[in-house]
Amino acid sequence: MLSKKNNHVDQAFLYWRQSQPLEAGRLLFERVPPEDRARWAARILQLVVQRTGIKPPAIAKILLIAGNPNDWGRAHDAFSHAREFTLQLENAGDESAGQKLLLRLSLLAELVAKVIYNASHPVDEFDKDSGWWIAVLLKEILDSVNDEQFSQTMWSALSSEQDAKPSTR
Amino acid sequence: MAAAAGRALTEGERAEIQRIANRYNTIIDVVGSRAAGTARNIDTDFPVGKGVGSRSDIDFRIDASHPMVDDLIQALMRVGNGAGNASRKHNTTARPTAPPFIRFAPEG
Repeated sequence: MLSKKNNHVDQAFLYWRQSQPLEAGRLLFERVPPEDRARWAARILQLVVQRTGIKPPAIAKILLIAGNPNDWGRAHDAFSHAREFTLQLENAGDESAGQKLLLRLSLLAELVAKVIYNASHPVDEFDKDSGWWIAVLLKEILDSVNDEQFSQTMWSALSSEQDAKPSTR
Repeated sequence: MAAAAGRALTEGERAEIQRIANRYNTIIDVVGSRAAGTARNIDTDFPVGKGVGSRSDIDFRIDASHPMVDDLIQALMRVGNGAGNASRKHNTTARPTAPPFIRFAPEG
């Protein structure tokens, strides 16, 4: 008999394989205990950075902040820097594969910064669905990298930290 | 109020929000990336979201004690062809809106 944890991870995997990553992300993120969400999100970003070798300053700043819970309140500024970088990339209009990957990585970093900031319990938190979208950007990055082993590694990271019951948020 | 103009709101969105502020005789604050002037793809008909090929939503703060708050929220959710994001939780009576924001006050 499947545990509750396996049930929702299995369902999320179905969504993931059926090109419904936002649904997968919603299921998975909502089961990550709130106190673990910043670490969960930062680990995903860190693994993507390691695999792609792409680490612009805006992303490096987010990863640095993620390592110290006392700094999580600074993630709002880090988000703003990532957004500036995203807008620069979108304005450049470069359709090369490398630039598209960089844009997706920057958007992923924005989301991770939002999750980290929200973990600091601010009064002006970002949208609660920011964490859901991590799966969307991650899926797009994995499709462009096209590395089965890396895809498996990232699915493991995405579906880790799962609690056995839904969040009470 | 402090807000950048370039990537904030389209003229159509501004007109929609002003009409709602007038109709419900209430102050409406726009916050988030729209107020900061760092929103994405606002002049497009892209779906609202946070990924590639999406446009930024419009985050509102409202007076949740308004007698017609549910109608107000529904009206705001329709702004920008469904780009609006409003709820009782984002409530100006609980705490004042912090900058940056774009404020729409009722006219006339």
